Amino acid sequence: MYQPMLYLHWKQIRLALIPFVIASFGLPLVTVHGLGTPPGHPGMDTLAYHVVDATRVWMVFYPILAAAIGATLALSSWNWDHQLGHVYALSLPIPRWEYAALKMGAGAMLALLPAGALWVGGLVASASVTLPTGLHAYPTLLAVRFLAATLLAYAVFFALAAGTIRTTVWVVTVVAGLIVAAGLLNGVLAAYFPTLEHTSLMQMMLHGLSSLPGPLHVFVGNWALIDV
Amino acid sequence: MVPALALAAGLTLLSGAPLCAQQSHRAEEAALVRHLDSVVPLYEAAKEQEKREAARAKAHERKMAASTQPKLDTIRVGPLRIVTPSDQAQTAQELFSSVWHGYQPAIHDSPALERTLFTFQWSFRFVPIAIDGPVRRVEARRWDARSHVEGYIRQAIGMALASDLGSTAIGQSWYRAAVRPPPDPAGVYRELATTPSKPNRACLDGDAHACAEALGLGVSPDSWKGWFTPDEERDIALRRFYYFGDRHMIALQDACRNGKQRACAEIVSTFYTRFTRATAQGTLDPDARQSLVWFALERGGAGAWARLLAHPDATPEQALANVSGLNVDRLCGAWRRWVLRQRPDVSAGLGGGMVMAGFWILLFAGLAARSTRWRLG
Repeated sequence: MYQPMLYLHWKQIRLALIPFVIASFGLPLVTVHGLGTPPGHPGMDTLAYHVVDATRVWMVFYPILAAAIGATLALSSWNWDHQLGHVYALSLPIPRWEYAALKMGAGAMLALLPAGALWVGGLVASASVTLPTGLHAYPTLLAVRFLAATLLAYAVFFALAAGTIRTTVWVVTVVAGLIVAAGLLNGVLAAYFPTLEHTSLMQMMLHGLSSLPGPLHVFVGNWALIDV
Repeated sequence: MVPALALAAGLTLLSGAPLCAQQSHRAEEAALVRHLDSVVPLYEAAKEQEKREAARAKAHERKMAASTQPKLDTIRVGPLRIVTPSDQAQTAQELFSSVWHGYQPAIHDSPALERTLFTFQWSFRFVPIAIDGPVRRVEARRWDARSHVEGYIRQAIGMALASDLGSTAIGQSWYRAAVRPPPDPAGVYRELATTPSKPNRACLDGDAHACAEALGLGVSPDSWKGWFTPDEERDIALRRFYYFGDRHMIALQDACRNGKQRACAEIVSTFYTRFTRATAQGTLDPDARQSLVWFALERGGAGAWARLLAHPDATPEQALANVSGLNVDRLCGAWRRWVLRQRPDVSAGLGGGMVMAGFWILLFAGLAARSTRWRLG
């Protein structure tokens, strides 16, 4: 049952996945472009600080790419079902939870492709330059972080896409509403609770989401390909 | 005969050419001086005008402040006096107390803090707070995070404290930054580990004296000559930027690029003699010195700041020894151990993060499996 599910998802996503795989492979290469010296040449140690600074510029693109891949995989996984009114799924002799689990497993397997591409890209990028003394490349750690972020984004959007449109609209509206209301509520509530006067609900929310045990923690770590 | 005439004519031309050039330069110089003389009165007039405008603006500001001035409170936190709108007094008290707590017990009081007034506003709109005399303003928009506001307060206090050092030898020759905890300790490690020079490498390897040298302590004007390898000198020289008009330096850079090591060395020499003359040389930037001063203050404990100010003529090395109670090499050795502990860990939090990510993934998968789409009835 898993193989057809994987094949179906692959058929659905393969064209969309190609640019993501290329981007995942290319991002580490772009990160190190123009840095260090080619292998075999004497290392330019004086560039070390410059290397760290230059690679940090690209750090932000890794979690963004992971989120984009996760969202695309998730939305494409349910796309076919939604279009055909879930007839195929309902015709299968398996319960709903098993179907969702198989589908999620298929998407998770496909997420390995861009993560693997990023890992290979990271290895190639690391090998393509002689890093100055004191610096190290971390392609594997970066790929692990990237895979986790992709899977997390995938899981979030998968859960959203699995529900009815009404549920999705509800969830998105509530989240967006909370973000907007957090700012407005502050002013109103502060009139009754003075301690809220200088407490930002919005920041509390963001902090809660992005620090452990929040779900977005994996997106805010150290995404450095090269560091000390 | 003809060659002789040609030679004579050539010599005449050659000897005449510099003379002509010299005369032309003199004429150009005289013209420039005349032009400068003509613009000086205009400049003086403009300066006077600017002063009058500034005074008018100040008067206007006072008038505006008087008409729109909200109720202000002045609160005290240790030696700090803070002027703030009344409705923010409690917040100011909390935030300044929390930041000031970090300065104790090393800094109990300071002449600069005694004479400086701080203003504090953390709101959507700032109101004008007109104050005469030394003032440090902490103004943050309402949406700024509390940690950022604390950072602004720390910087304001640090800058005020730095003005205490203006009359000391250490402040004049070695330290010109805010007195505060280093905002990015991992950055200090990064700089030490990635800025190539012999003192930095030796410092990382455990040589405390080299750390002092890297920080510009106990160095002579010629110390830099032994700091870099030829490759490093070349790279430093080529990475410097010179404006188009700085033809001599650009020519030196070209020569350096073409493999003339002496040109590279001259550029580095110019850098150290021309640009870093005002403060003691070193291979680490002011953030590292800031971290050392803070480290020394923490080590020194109670009365450390007072000991620093008690000997205004002390050299930076003596001053730091007075503050910390350790000689420079021991202080730098301890500082080095602290820096090593600040090394950024790329895998930090990854384990816990993975576990939590796994938990959230399973949770969302569970939610997906519980979707209502197929539920009948």
